[in-house]
Amino acid sequence: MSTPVHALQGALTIHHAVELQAQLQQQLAAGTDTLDLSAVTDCDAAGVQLLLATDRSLRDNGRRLRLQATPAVVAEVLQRCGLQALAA
Amino acid sequence: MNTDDDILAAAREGFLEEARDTLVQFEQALLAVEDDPADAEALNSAFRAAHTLKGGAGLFGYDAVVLFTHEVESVLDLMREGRLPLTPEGMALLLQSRDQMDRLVAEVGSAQPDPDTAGISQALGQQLRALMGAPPASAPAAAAATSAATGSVRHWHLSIEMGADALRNGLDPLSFIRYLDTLGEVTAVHTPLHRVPPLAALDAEGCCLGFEIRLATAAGRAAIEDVFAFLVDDCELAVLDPDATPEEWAALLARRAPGDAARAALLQAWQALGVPFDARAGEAADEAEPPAAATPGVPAGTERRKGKPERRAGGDDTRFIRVRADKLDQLIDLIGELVIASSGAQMVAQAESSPRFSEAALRIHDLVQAARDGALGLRMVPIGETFSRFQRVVRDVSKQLGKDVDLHITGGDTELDKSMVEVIADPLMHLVRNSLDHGLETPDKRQQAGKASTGQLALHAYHESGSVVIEVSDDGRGLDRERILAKAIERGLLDAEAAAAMPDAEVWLLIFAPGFSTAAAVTDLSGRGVGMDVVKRNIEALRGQIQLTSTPGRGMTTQIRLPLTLAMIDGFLTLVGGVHYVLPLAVVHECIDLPAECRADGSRTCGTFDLRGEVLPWLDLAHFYGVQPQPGANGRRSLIVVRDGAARLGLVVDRLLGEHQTVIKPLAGIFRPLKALAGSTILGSGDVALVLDLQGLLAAAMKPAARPAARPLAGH
Repeated sequence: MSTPVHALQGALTIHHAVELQAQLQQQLAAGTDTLDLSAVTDCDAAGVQLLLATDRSLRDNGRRLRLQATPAVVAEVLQRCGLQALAA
Repeated sequence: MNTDDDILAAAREGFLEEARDTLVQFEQALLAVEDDPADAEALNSAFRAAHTLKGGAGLFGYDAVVLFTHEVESVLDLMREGRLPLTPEGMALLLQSRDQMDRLVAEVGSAQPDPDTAGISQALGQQLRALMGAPPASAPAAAAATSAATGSVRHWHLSIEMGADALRNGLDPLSFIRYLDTLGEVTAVHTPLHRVPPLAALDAEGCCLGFEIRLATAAGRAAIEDVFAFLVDDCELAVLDPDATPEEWAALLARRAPGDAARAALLQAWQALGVPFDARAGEAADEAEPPAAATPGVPAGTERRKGKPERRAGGDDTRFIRVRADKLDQLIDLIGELVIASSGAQMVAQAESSPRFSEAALRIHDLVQAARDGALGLRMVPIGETFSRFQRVVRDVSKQLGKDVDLHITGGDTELDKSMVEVIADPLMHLVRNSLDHGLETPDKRQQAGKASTGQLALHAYHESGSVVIEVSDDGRGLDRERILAKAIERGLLDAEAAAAMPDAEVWLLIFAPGFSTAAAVTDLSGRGVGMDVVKRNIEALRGQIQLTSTPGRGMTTQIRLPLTLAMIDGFLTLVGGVHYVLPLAVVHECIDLPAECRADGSRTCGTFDLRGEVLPWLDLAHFYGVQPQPGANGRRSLIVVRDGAARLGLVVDRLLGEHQTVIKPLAGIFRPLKALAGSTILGSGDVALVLDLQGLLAAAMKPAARPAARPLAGH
């Protein structure tokens, strides 16, 4: 199965949570399992939640979410939540 | 009955050996912690070492060791938990305790209880308990007290479940977690995943997050709950204090994790966070578990003798097996004989001029060589273990003398023969103490001299052309030429006139004279007892050399050069006057035809020749040993250029016979005065060959202009 990489952009925050959810759902349908975060500028708890939910959906299908080019701002948030493993 | 005793004795031997290793690890870990109090791994390792020792001793019913080590373990556990601060006094006490543990273990070995030792145990135990702030208690009671002990920084547990509308209300839980940093240290966080739905079912603006947080803080409950005051309507918060009862934990578990899967996941997460709660009491607990699990009750009883240790700490040692040293020595002796036999077989093959036999013999020869290297490699140990011992020495002695000293260790992975490591430890100890005592100055004297107040002491090891070089250097005051000479004149070793003309390098050698001490005051540490003469004798007994370089006011370096191994070398076989001589192959640089300079006067023993524009000394071995040269069939002799560090020398020999595996046998005492011989070996033909000692040859060739000590030190 092809697993194209999808690049997320801008702020993964509550303000864009609804659009991001739609975007991610499309990507899930397209078989994406890797998110490139290099263009992400901010991340809050809503963003973390979206990433976790995406991971959950993938895991339900026996796959897992992969993150690449995680910027420091996202890495810090994940580390605060004890979710470093997600970025690995 | 007898056999039972035998088994017990053997097992006790094993315990003692392991205990000594454990104590070494323990000490190293303590020193690492003292160096860097933030080094959690070192602290853990110290704790594990104490725990291992206690477990081992418990197995044999050595109650004195168990009881005392238990106190040490408790202190370390509190420190590990961050509930007891790491103070210099605490570290000093732990190091003293280590020495006491050593004594207690030694007592087990000697099987003679010493009332003094028990007294020290008691006194130190009291101090340790005072450190913990706990009342004097018996061992099991102290274990229970561990969890109730108070320290300034304690571990709290925060469990937060966010309300669905928290995000919509503009509250970001992350900012609260960040804010906790102002109270103390968030040591671990876990985000439970069981409430996170698949993406399609997610309310993107709702909140389904929760957090399990470990907070190390000196603050109280009110201050912690205050942090979440804003959030109080939008989250469900539980704060468990460090003394929470298992019931409280169980209640939280039930509230947070409704299903079995969630319960298991949360329990696992708690365990990873270091929560001191174990719902599955009785199941195998981890070695690194906090107090409740880490302290197995050690009731007095006899049946523990039969039990096996359930846990083994560390895991580093599982890759090693212990072998008795004499078995190894037997193996190496055997391989030595094999080397000689293989050489013999090769000679026979050559004499028979049978190509197939030669080929087979050569194959055997190669394998024997590989086996030899492997066997010798078994005996090789890194010197780092010996070096790290000095950390404690430097720490203790510098404190005692009121000096600030940094110890730098480099090249600790340099390997050398185990037997040498053992013998070298004492001379090294003497050199290190000498540096600390006489070399390095007190901080104010150093400042007066314009140097940093902290003295530098360095231990350095490296391999160089078939030998191991160990250097002890300091940046202290260096050797005092005038004082050494004055002392030498006073002792009648030389007269004033000779003293004035003596080159520095020879002056330094005077301190190796028996009973020579230049220290103005004989101190507690050095300046009495074993002198530098003993150091020198020890090193020379290992076929090594010792050299000194010193710059007044800038420090001194002692360089010890040892052969890689005592038993076997790759040799280069030569023939001089019908006698076989072996040189270590590693020192042979090149072989050339005899240059014209050496042929000019057939009666000279030594001289100089021109090697591609460089002037080198040469030594005719035939004349040196007083035998008649017997040139080969073509009437020509050869010159071998050998190298030792920076020095090079040409040796004139009759014939070159090539590479030869050499098993070195010591020469009997009667041959000792023959300075340039290191030993003998037996050739495949049964003939005896003499192993040349390069330093001796160099000294003979270069006298009297320059002794080896005057050479610039390699590696500087």
